[in-house]
Amino acid sequence: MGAILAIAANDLRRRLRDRTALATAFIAPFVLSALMGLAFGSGNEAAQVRIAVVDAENTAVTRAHADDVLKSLALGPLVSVLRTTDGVRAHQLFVQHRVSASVTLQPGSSQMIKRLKPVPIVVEASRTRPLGRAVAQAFVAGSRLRQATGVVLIDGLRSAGLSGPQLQDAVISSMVAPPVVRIGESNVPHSQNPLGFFAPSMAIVFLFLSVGFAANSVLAERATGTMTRMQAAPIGLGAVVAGKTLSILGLMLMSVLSLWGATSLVFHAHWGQPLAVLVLCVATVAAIGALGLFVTVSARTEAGAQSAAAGVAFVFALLGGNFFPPGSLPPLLEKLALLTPNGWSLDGFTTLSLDGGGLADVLVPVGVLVAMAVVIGGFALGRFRRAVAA
Amino acid sequence: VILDRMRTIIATSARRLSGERRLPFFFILLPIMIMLLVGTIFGTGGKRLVVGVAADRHDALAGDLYAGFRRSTVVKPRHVKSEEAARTAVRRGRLTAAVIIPAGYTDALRAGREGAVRVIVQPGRSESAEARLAVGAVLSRANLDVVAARALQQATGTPFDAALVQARRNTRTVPDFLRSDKRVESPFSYTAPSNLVLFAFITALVTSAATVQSRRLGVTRRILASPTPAGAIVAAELVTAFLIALLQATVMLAAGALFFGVQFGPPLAVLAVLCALALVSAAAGSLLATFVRTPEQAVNFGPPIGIALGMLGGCMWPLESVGPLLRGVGHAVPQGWAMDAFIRLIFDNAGIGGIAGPLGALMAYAVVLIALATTRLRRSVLLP
Repeated sequence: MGAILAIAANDLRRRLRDRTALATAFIAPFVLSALMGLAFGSGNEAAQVRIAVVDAENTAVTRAHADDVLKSLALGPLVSVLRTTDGVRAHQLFVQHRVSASVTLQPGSSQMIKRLKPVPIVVEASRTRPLGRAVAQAFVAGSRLRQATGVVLIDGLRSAGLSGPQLQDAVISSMVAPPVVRIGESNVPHSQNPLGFFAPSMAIVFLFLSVGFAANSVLAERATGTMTRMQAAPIGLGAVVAGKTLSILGLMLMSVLSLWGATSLVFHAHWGQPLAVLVLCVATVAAIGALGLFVTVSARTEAGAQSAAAGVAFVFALLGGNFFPPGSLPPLLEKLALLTPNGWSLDGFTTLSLDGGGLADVLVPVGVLVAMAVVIGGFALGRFRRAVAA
Repeated sequence: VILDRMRTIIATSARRLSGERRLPFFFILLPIMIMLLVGTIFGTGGKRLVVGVAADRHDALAGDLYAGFRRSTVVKPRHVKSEEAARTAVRRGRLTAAVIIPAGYTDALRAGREGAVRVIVQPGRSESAEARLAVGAVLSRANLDVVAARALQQATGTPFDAALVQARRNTRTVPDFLRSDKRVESPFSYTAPSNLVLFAFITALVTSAATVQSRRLGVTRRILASPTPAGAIVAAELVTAFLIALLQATVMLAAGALFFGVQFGPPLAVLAVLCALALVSAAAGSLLATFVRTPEQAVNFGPPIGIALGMLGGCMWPLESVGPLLRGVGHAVPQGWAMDAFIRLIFDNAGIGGIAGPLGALMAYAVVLIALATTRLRRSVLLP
C-alpha cells in the first residue's frame, strides 16, 4: 500500500508541476464555465429587452391606442418600453443596439384608429434580435386585434338589434373593460445560478481531456524507460498500475472539486447539496476515468492516444449535452445521452442544482456511473497493466 | 530565389501535414459533424417553441385555448399532467414555457368572472419571453370571443353559452394577427459560419504544433545554414498556416452552402472575409507557436483557447442574445468581428460595402498579430 501511495503521490506532484496539466485540469474549465454562465446566466441583460414605440402623430387618440395595446400585451418585467415621438432617434437607438426593435405609428394613425381600420405601423427589427422582433410583431398584432374587436362588437351588437347611442355605449364599455382572459405571471424562481449546471458540465469535458493527458504520460514514460526501471524495484506490477491510476483519478477529482470551490466562491454557483455533489463527483470521476483510461491505453502511440482522447471528449460531450443549455437536446438525443457517462452525470448534476434534489434523488445516476466504472475500468486496468509491462 | 525557397518550405510542410492520417477527421469531418448536430438542435429554421399546457381536459373553453395554441405559428402545445410537472419541465429547460389553465375556467367565464391563466416562464431566457408573447396573443384572441359574447349577453339577455356561439360567428374570421416569422434562410445560417470561424482558429492554433516540432527537431536551424534568410523562413511558416486555414474555411463554407443550403452572400465579399479570417487565424497560430515549448502543448492549449475565444466572439451563441458587457468583450476578439461580417452578409443581405467595418477590424487584428508573430518567430528562429 505504501508503494502504491508513494507512486501516486510522486506522480501527482509531477503532474501538478506541468503547466499543460494545470491549464487543462484547472484554468480552462473555470474560464469556459464562467463564460457560459455569463452568457446564459440570470445576469443576462439581453432578456431585458427594450423596444421603442414611436408615436409620429402624438395625439390623444394615438397615445391611448398605444397605451391600450401595450396594456393588452402585458409584457411583464422582461420588456421595457421607450415612448418617443422622434422616429430618427429611435432608428439611431436601434442601430446602436440600445433598443432591440422599434414600432412607429405613422402619421394618419388617429384617423385609422377612429375608423376601426388597421393602423399603419412600421416595424424596424432584425432577425438576429429575435426577442425584440417578437415584441414588435406582438405590438402590431395587438393593434390589429384591438381594431378588429371594435368591428366585431359593432357588427355583433348591430345584428342583435342595437343602434345609436345604445350601441356606442355597449361598444365603448366592452372596449375599455380590462381583459377577461388575463395572464397571471408565475415564473420559475431563478435563484439558482446557472453556473450550477454549466460548471459541472465543463468540468466533465475537461475530465475527459485530463484523463487522456495523464494516461498519455504513462505511454511517454514507457518510451523513456521509466516503467522498466520501476519494475526493477521490489514492487509488483499491480502496485505500479494502481499508483498510476490513483494519481490520474486524484488529478481528475482535484480538477472537478477545485472548480466546484472556485465557482461557488467567485460566482456563488449552487451545485447542490454538498454530500450529494461530492458523491456524484467521485462517481463521475470513476466512470469517465475508466473510459478515458481505456481509450488512451488502447492506443499504440502517444499521438494516437492524444487524438483518441480528444475525439472521445468531443463526441461524448456533444452526445451527452455538455455544450448545450439544460433541456435543449431533442428527445432522441436525450435518450442517446444516457448511453454516455457524462449524460448520466449531467442528469445528476441537473437534479442537484436545478431541482434542488438530494443524495436520494441521484442514486440512480450514481449507481449507473459506478457500474460503468466497474465494467469499463476492468477492461481498462487490464490494458493499462499490459501497457505498463510492455 | 527566395520565393523558390519559400515555396519549397511550404511544399515540404504541406507534404508533412498531408501524411497525417487524422487530419481529415479532425479538420474537416468533425467540424462538419458538429455543424450538423448544432444546426439540427438550434437551427434558426422557424421551429415552434414547445409550451406545456396543464388544464382540465373536460373544460370546454380550456380545450378551445389549447386548440388556439395548436394553430399558433410560434408555439407548439404539449399536455402536461400538473402544475408541478410543468414547473419542473420549465426549470429543466424541457419546456420553453407553460400555461396553467385553472380548474373551473369555463364556469368562471360563464359566471361573469375573469379567467386568470397563469404563464410560467424562466426569467433570463429569451425563448421563454418569446413564447410568453405568443401565448399572450392567443389569450388576447380568446378574450375577443368572450368580450363579444358578454356584450351580447348584456345587450340582449341571451345566456352566455348561446351568446358565445353567436359571437363566434362574427369572430371566426379574425386571426390572432401574430404573423408567422417565415425565415427564408437555411436553419444552418448561423451554425455554419460560427463553426467555420470557430474551427479556423482552433485548427490554426493546433497546427502550430508543426512549427514547434520543426523548431525542436532543429529543422529551422538547419535551413538557416543554407543561404535562406530568417525572414523567408518566417514568411513561409505564416503562408503555410494561412493556406491551411483558408483551405479548411473554404471546405467548410462549401459544405455549408452545398449540404446545408446556406446562402453566404456575394462571393467577393465572402472571399474577403475568408482571407481576412485565415490571415488572423494563421497569425494567432504562429504566435502561439512562439509561446509553447512542445508540440503537445500547442495541441493541448489550442482547443481550449479557441473554444474560449469562440464563446466570447459569438461562435457558440449569437452576441445579440447576450448582455451589453459580454457583447462588448466579444468584439475585443477577432471572432466577434468575423461573425459580424458573416451575419451582415447572410441575414442583412449586405455587400462588400456593408461589411467594411468588421472587415477593417479583422484586417487590423491581422496586421497586429502578424507583426507580433513575425517578430517572435524570427527571434525563435535565430535564437531557439
